[in-house]
Amino acid sequence: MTAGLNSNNWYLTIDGTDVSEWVVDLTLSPSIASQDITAGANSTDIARGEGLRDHSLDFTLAYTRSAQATILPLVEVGTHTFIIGIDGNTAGRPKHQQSMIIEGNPISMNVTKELMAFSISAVGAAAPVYNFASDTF
Amino acid sequence: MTDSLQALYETVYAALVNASGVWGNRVYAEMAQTGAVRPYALFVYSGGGERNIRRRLSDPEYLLNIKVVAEERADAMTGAAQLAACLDDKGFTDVENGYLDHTDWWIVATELGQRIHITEMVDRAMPLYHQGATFRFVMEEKQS
Repeated sequence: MTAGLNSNNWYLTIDGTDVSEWVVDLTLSPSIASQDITAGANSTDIARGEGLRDHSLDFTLAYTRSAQATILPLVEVGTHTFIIGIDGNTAGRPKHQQSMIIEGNPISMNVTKELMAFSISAVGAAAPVYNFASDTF
Repeated sequence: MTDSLQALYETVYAALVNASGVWGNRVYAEMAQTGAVRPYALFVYSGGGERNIRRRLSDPEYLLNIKVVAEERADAMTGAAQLAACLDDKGFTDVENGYLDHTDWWIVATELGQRIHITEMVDRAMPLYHQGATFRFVMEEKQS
């Protein structure tokens, strides 16, 4: 048995800018809708078929004063191109590239001086150009 | 690159020596020298270490106990206020100007914490006053 991955060797670009070093955490969530395709008068069990596939992306991006000029335009709500490597961007590693819409980018502050970071939520705007389930760098 | 705690010690030492406090330039790390003239300022590691919330960047957070030791209570308390003025809210992200700085490390944020208030009896019942606080220092490695 080989070791499981316990790594923060992710890779993330937004509109071509590598922001990997500022990412605090990242979750890429593929999903698919299911739909009732039960047919026949004597059916006793529901049958389901595949509906539309979707991807959403949630990540936390540290706010740094030195990087604010870089970060702020990239996390503006709206459509951006994301390239995500869940295990880095070395050749052969899973690659996901997709146009996604940032639906929210709240940033929180508190008086106890915790890390200031954007909590960004994005959803797929189109089918992935590369899907990490099958495509690689 | 300088060790992070060493960098913090250097930074705090320089800030206190240049602060024109009741301690003058008598600032000691860990332990005062034997026979040190009072009042003096003393700082010692209290806790902390890496936060590990930045990827591949060292980002320690340290607590230092920093106090003024004086033979007069008023000097010690004046000194405590001067320590706070010198070190509280003096990080790179706390203020635009006059923040604590080091060649290799950002002092990202500083914060005044628990009070130190001790009266010690020395030399045949002479009271010695220790006044100060625990300060929190959030740091981050500077990238070249």
